[in-house]
Amino acid sequence: MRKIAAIVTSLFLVSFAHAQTRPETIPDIDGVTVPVNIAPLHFRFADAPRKCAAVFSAEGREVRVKARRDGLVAIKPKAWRKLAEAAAGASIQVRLSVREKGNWRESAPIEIYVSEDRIDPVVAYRLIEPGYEVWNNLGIYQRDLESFREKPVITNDKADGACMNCHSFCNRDPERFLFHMRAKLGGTYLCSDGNVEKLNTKTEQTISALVYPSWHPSGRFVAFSVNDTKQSFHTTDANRIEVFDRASDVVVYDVEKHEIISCPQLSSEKYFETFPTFSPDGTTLYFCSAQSRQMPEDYSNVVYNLCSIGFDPAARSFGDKVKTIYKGSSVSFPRVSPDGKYLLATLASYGNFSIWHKDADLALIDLSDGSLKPVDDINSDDVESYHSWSSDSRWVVFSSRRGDGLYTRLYIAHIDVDGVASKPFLLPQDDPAFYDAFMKSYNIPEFVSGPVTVSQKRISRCAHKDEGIDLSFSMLSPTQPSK
Amino acid sequence: MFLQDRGYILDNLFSMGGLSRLLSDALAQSWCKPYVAPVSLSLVLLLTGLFTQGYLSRTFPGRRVTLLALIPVVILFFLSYKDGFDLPLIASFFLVSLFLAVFSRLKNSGVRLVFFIIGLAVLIPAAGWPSALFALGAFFSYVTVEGGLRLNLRFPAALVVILQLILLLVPGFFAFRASKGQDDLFKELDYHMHMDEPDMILEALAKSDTDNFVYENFANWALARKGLLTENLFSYPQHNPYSLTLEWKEIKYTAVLLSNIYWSMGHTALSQRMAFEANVCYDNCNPRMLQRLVGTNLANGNYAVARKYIERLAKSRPYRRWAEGMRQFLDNPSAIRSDAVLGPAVRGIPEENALCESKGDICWDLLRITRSDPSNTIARDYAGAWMLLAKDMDSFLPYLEEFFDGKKLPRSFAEAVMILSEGHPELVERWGIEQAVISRYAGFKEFYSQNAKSQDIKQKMRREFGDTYWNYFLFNKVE
Repeated sequence: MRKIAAIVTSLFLVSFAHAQTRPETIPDIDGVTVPVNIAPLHFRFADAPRKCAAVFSAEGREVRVKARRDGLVAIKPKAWRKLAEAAAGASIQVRLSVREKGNWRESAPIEIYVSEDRIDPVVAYRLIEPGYEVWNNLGIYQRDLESFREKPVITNDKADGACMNCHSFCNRDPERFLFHMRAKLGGTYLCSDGNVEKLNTKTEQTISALVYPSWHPSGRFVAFSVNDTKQSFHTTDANRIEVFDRASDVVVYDVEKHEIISCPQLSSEKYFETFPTFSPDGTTLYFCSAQSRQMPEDYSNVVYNLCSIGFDPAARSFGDKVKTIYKGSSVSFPRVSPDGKYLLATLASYGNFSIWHKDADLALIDLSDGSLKPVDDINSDDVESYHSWSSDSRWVVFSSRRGDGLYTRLYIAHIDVDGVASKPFLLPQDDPAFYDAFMKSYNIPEFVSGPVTVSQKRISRCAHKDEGIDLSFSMLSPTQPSK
Repeated sequence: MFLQDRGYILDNLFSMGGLSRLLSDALAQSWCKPYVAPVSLSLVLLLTGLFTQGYLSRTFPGRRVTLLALIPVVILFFLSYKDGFDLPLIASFFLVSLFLAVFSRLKNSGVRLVFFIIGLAVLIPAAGWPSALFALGAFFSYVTVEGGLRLNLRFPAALVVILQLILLLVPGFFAFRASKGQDDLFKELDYHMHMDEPDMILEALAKSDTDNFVYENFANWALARKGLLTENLFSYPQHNPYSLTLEWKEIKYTAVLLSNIYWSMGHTALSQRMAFEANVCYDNCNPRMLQRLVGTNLANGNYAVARKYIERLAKSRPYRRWAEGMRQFLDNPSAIRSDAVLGPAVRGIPEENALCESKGDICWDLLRITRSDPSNTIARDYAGAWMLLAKDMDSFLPYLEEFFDGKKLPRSFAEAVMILSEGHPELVERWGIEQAVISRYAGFKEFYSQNAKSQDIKQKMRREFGDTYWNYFLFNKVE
């Protein structure tokens, strides 16, 4: 055993002694940009001898961390915080240090860039198997980004095993959010300042209950899609599953009046309208629209454009014209940065359920001129899909299946004022090997400005006891202010 | 499935009822070896009974309450047969009885108090609600031993025994009733399917009333495995095409069944789909479905995902060797193609993609699989059987032309040709239908015309010709 270790060590030392190569880490942290207040990046060196150490250095500070027996390099949170604060605006260098004949030899450094831009302290997501129809244990969780703590917002064991999805926060406010429950205790649950309201959102005039949400910045409205969604399986395609809409429309829910409003430009039979999102000033509603087709036969020919329509929150009315902002690849999940400069979307060759499309990538649109800005550093050979912006527009968290092609993990990337994206990093874990064994996917990551405080008990009580409020529906003609 | 994995163990230990779950997972996992289940379960229940008896005899000395110790044993024994029974409950009662037995042995009141506090603190998270029984038992032990409460009522010994028998038999009866299954046969068939024993399936079904889709699926799978599906299709009850692959309806047992059937057909995509759904239902701890997912992901070239499932199975002692053996296929497509089990799964994947069941049912998928892999006669036979059960005679003749030209037709196909020959008598000679079939068909028509006005025509026809396609074609409604 000792002989083998010696041979491995020697080979390793020969390799980096000759080329001064930077060591590989699992997960890859070389060249990533992290916020100053992120939890420590724990990792392992790939192909390193068991007895090794990592030397972290930044701005004159140095911290030496011995790898554990299982190879994990776990810098202590306090030490990490001090280093990160010292390195804000610069970088932390990490060297692999290996003992050879009584001496420690170090590799060339890898760099972790530390941005001065802080990140919202919480990200919320759903944990669920990357599957198909059934579910078992699932829940919506909140993760403290400054540590490794994860707590449930609501788990379905508190709701008779119901499915939960589409959590959405108003301006990242933890006190104001909503989510849906399906099957048992079905409804949309709107949580506001500790109160929970259950809504029965299916009306006679709409295709379905409310689906993909996007809050108006005022908190008075929420845009939703309504969708008739079906799912099928590929016999041969690497994409495994095809999820498609047979029909869809966009509507806006008035939180105060408990009313759904829409207009013909958002609810046309000729088009599939979906994925609405408000601009930060609340005067524009962006959405995706595709010509309606015979489904499932034409599933691969459905291409969604990015469109917009005006919205007057005071008059509760829509503009009369739909503008096409982007036409080309199929667009899904458009999201405008809080500073209003950019729109991040997912592009794929067709369709809208991009998590199952391996060619799905993130794309950044400059809203001043509609041009596409390349964000190749964010994308991979596999799926990049759902995403959300931090409150200062400098960070995005997004779903990616680049790890194994099936189990979605979260990555965080920095985007500077010029729209230049940096190399993303994997959501840190106390032991990143956790991801190898973890059998659930991270869905719908959303930044939140603080911890969600409404209790599971409160939500559960509402789900079990409340009948729910039935919503009404109004179809508005263009520029007609509603009452 | 018990995983030798720090994360899995810690996650369970720190959740309510977690230790019980770990113990029951370890117990259940040992059951994959034949005969271990009754031995291990009996041992656990015996120990539970002994611990309970020890506690009772020290708490109620001289009271002859031994029979009461059998109450939890009997109830748990019968309930363990019940479908969906919460196995950790057995582990919980085992832990509670162990703690009570130890508690009742302690003499020093200070030590007893400390043990009580620690015991409760351990049992509440470890065993869940049964830990309340520990509190109750400790209370009784306290009042009878230290509290000096003596039950001075004298009953005749026979009455004491009778009372205990009543306390034992009444809940035991209800537990016994709850355990009786609709699903004993299903469990047996599922076992034989897992062991690839089609003969045993047919033997078990021959002894039972099997007029439902689930059992029909099993029978047809067994016939297909023996190459007899199209020969003996109507020797077994058939309702409609779902007798081949029933509707899933989001039930975990049927997901397992369907995954096995699709795998036999060579329909890797749907087999994978059902295996995934089933595994989710079993909280990602169904080893058979994990094995299936290893197979389907290897066949599809999804090595990273296959590796994930291999790693998971490798943490489980009974499946470790199998998992290690599968590593040779990672990133090794040529080994996969030449493997006896994985090779057919790969060959059946059509080159050109399509959505599964895009024509409304599985039949077209099966034809594509057969064209991809002509050696896959199971898929071919299922396709033909589907057409017959769907009464899709328009598709059946082209199917025969494509796959059976120059071959002797199996019995059900020959019978179908006789129906098609009404108006096209040349088909009889074209397909070389044997005289015995021709004569029997004539007899069928004759019998029908003689009995057409009879009120029990269906029963009469079934008695005489129930094993023919003609009878199915005439009387079965296909929606």
